Amino acid sequence: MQGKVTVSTRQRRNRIRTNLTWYSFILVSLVTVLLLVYLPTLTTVVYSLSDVDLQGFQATWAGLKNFKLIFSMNGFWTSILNTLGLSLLGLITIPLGFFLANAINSLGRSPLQSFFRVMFYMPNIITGVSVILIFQVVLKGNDGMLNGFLSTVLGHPVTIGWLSSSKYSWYGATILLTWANLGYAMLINLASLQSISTELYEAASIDGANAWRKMLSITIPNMRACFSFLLVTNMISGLARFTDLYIIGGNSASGKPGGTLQTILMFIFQYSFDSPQYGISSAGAVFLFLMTLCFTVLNVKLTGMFKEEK
Amino acid sequence: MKIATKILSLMLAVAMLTSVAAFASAEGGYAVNPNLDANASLTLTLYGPGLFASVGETGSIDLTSGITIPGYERVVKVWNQYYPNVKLDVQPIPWSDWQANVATAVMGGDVDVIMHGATLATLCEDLQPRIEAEAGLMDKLYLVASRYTADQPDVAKVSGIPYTVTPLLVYLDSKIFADYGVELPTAAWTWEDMIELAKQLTGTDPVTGEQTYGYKFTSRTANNNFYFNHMMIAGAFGGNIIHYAPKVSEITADYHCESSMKAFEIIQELSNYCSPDGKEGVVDDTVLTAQNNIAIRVEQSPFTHLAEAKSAGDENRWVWMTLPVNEVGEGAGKPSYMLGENNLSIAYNSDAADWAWEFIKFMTTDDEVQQWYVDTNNIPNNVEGQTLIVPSVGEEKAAAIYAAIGDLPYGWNNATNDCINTAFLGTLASDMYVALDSLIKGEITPVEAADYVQNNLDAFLKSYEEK
Repeated sequence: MQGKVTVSTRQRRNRIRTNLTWYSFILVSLVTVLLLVYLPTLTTVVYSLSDVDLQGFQATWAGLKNFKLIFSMNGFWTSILNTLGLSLLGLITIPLGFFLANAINSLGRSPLQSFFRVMFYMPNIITGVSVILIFQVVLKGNDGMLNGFLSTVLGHPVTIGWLSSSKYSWYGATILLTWANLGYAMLINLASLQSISTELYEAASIDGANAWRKMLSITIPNMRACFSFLLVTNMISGLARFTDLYIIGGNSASGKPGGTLQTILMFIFQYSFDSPQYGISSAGAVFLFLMTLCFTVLNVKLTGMFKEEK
Repeated sequence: MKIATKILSLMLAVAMLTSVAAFASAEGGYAVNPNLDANASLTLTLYGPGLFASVGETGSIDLTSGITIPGYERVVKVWNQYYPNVKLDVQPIPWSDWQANVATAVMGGDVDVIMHGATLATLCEDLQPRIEAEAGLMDKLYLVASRYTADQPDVAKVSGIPYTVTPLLVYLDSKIFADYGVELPTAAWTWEDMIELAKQLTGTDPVTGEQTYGYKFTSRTANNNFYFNHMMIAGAFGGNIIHYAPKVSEITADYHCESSMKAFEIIQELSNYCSPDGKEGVVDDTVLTAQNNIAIRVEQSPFTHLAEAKSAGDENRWVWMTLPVNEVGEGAGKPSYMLGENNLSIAYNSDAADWAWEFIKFMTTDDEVQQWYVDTNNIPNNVEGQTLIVPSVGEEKAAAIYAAIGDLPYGWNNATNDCINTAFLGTLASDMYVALDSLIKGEITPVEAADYVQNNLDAFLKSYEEK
């Protein structure tokens, strides 16, 4: 009996020693993640409940005061509205990517398909800053390229300031986002489209289904996981939108024009860097975290993203 | 009228040179401080944006004029002739997010001299005691950089010493004026005169048949500086918008007051005479070219514009003029207040503060360094050093510069005054940018612009009330 215990203890020790060897491989990553991700996250939560001094970062407990304060700020709610509006408009890339993927897929596996696949994905690998600077000229109200095109098509002068008018800035920012992200949405849709069994389409053809019926009954139901994935990831990135709008605003988090392009992340940035009030910015960051979490859970529930196929 | 302008300019130049001659009796230049150990061995760390970042260590080439701009290695070399063992570790940074970067670096404890630190006054040592202990220093310098701070909002703290100054001048295209048969204004002009001229000069040029525009706002696409447009006009009508108090929570501001509303209304009126690009604010057309179609421009960087004018083939086409005069208060009759500067500060936690102060004195008084400023197209804050610009820009233009920088009250600065505060009143500068941008585009009225700025400021001040 005693011998069995000794063997068992030794085995356990060996197992621990073996596991430790494996754990040592991830130790550096683990410590890095703890120090650079979880610790700052926890600090943000603590700061959101504190008054924080600029010099020395001394924090004194303040309860929910910072949250009460941001909830009383018009600018905060405007930034939430802008974030949600821009995020929802940004979802246009999903149906557009789907239609584009269908068009490219219909070309069959050919060099032409590869060509279009690469061409439409190209905007994704171009440096974001240069794209934004170029689009500022393309979307200008005075002599902008888009307005030039619209003027020619419509037969009368169009002078919409797509990025400079408070009225149209959401659409201008969405045009920019769509141009930059359409290729990615197309690629994900295309990969998903090409994974649908061709036997299903063949069987449907034998049953007399036309192209429209195949689309509604085979393609779209089989694309559910793809749409869910794009919906969740697009919403998350939409809620954290910052860089392009920051540059459009003249390297400012003010959300020019008229504050209509100030997202919640830009609101947080303003109170972190332009006018450091770390309690307010941390409260905004915690609110953004909770909002993103809620949207993600809601999206996952509604779309059944992680449900196993029966 | 043009002759009258020239005569006035020459008179101002003579006045300036006379005052400089008076200062010349004071001992000029920099001398080694005998109280410091000349053989001391240490490293002085300089961190921040400004001139050092723009010229680089080894220099750069001015793209307009093709002239080589000398780098800061020249300054380092002169410094090391005085103190061979005190090394300078220069860490220039770009303007993007500079305040956050400077704050982080200073709180890290590795910075001695903050370049352009004066606005971050809480991070800087109060230099007033050092100035008082340094007899004769202020005779050599034109101005100090003082700021209100969040710790003591009603008392201005000397948080830095400027080494160069940047006036805002008006550039009048004499060709457009002549084509329309409109006389150039005198230095005694008002903001109402500005509106009237801008109106007259907007339309189809009677000689060339080209479209011309009357006015261009300064810093159209620059979030951090666009508030200049409101500040200088509101100041001309008495300012008195922000009322500082011993605590931030007790500060009050009224952006609906007479001077502020007057500024919003004048800006709205002037926007009618801007080019479409000038209104839209996506592209900032700041370069003086032969094809120029804007009659009145308000800009900083006079040296740069002189180089542009030369490149355009006619440097005399643009007449340099001071801003319209203040109409109310002690400064009535003087040009509207607006002066930028590059400054140096001592980090509050520097363990080489005496050496940092010595470096600041060196940068503001040494003759070779003053010449370096002029060679880099800058105007020294040193009174004698300012005379060095005459060979580069000529007496007439130098007179306009002297007049623009000559009448500021002691301690006045464009970062914290009674019209604006970019240092500790939250997102005020940024909010002003958004409000003015929308106002110029015609999306909001002056009252709505004031509402926007006021509401955001009130929300910010409320955050202090609850502390």
